[in-house]
Amino acid sequence: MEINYISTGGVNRGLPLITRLKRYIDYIRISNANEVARRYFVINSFDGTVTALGIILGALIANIQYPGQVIDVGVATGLALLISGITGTSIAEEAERDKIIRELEASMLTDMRNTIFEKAQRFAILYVGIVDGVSSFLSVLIALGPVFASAFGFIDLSLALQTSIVVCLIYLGVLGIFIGSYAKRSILKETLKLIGIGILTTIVVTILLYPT
Amino acid sequence: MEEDSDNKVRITYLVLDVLKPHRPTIVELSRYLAERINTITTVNTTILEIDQDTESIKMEIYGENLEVDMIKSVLREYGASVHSVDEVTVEK
Repeated sequence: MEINYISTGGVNRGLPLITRLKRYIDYIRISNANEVARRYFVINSFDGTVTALGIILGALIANIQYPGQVIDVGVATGLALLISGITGTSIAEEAERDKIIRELEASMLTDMRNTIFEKAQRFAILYVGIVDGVSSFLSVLIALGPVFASAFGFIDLSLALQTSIVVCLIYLGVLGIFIGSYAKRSILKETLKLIGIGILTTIVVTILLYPT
Repeated sequence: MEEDSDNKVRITYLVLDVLKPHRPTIVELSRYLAERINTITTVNTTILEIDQDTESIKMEIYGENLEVDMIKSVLREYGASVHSVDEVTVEK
């Protein structure tokens, strides 16, 4: 009897890329990883953006003169968030997924090792960790976009930092639209909520730190 | 005893009592099984019972020349466990 697919004993090496991608999509569906990943994407994009806002406001208040200095601080922070996101979330998610597998083994009275269910849970750990880390890192990079432009001489640093603040608020607004869309809630309300938090952060940091 | 290929006995229908986790769903599991084993022509799956972590299902499998061990192996790979073979049809 012919089996259409060659079992690789749980290993995806050697499979065509399309087949591998389809398998990963199956894993995401089976492990329900998208629900968790979406949550981490929103939380960490928000964290990354507000963190970047803090860096930008700090640079403005401290009257930093060189865009390279802002970029160094920003990228270093972004990289730290990337590593923290990937590793921290993977550790937490591994514990949760192990629990899910053990509970299912108890219910099924069978070993779930090397089943698609276990592979899906293992894949979800990596997937969610990457989404977590990359979303915060990307948020910082997006916020620093105008500062990069200043580093290349397109605009002066002061204007770049002010533009970065606007970019942060816009990105928070986009996150609000995303949340409103998938949660089927008022997009306007969610957008205003997140932009409001960005404006509040700006006001609080400025009031507390602006030299008198 | 040498088998005459004209008189070869083939399993063409099976009913399996299977226990599986909620995911993959019965749609996904039935599709995987049919995709993985070429001699399967039809899979008819019914949910019998659902509890918090698992579901008991009945799978009716039609095909040209079914091998029970192979089907069990593929189902096992997809996280399902065959509890019993409840019906079988053999043709010659």
